[in-house]
Amino acid sequence: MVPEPVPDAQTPRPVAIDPKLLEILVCPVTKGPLEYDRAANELISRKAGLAYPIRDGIPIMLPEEARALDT
Amino acid sequence: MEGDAEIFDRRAVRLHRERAASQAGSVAEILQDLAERLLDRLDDTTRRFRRALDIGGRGVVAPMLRARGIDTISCDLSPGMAALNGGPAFAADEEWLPLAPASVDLVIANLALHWVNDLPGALIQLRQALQPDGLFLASVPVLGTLAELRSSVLEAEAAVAGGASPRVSPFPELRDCAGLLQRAGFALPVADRDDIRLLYADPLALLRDLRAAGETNAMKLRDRRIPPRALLPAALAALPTDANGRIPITLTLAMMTAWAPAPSQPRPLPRGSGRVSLAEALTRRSETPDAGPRS
Repeated sequence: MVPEPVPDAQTPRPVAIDPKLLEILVCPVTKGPLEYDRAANELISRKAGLAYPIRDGIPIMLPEEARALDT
Repeated sequence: MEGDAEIFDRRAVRLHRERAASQAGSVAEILQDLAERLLDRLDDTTRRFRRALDIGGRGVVAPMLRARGIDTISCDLSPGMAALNGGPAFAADEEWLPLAPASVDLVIANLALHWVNDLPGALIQLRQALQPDGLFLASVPVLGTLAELRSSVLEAEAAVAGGASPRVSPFPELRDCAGLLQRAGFALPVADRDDIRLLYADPLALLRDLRAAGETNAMKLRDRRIPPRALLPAALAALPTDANGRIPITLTLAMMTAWAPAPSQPRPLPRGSGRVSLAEALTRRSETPDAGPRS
């Protein structure tokens, strides 16, 4: 296996998300729309107050893995 | 304590698949053969598909769909398994699908839905994700699968430990499958049965393959203690063998085909549109000789 660089906040190197995924994905909890936050590399569901992480170009659409938005 | 009604431990399913992601290559051949049996069904229709969703294809199904010229997006409960698919992929729980309505026109679930607690709910969500006249194609192991293993483990555990705990998944029955599809609002549901016999020279190889496919026990009520040392050898020795000393293992798969409803599909005539009354039809029948019940 190729050793992967450890991601840290200073040098984010997100793999670009496939635009096809943005077309079909919605929030699994509310089935509402998602916003793509390119800088944080997250898909944000305002209605559910959750941010789903994207790791290596793969959106992790699992509520238990999502970050709660501080509103 | 959370939902007692849940049969499967979804966290365990995810961990098993995550672990299997690094080993899936060792069972790719069997998985490919099983996927081919399912995808053969695509040749039976003249419909062309543009965008497919591959659920739990373990890196095997997506390349086969792309080879057929179908744009494919993969999804898996385990991010590691999703990454195997070599194309757009996301991690999701089949019970909480993050799909926009009518976003794909083909859904393929090869050996992927049998660890789902709320199967009717997952099917309804998949139907909603399909465009009208989109196709749902799935193979699901049903009762009869691993029957040899189930009975030998049960007998061995009763002998060794004086009791038994669930170790092989309670698969659904074939006759339930079409009903499940209908209940989920699919049109023209069909579930037929495909029996596959695998021959193993070494019983440990069977257990290795199940592990590499992410198919180890994920039942909520599973016995979490380390099993008595004598259990595994006793169970594996009890597996029936054929004349050449090999161990036949049965996979009984339900091949499920169903369509998202569309106005263009064949459907029954509306009520009241008949021109011959049923009473009339029955009288005519009873007038012909040899008709009617004999006592």
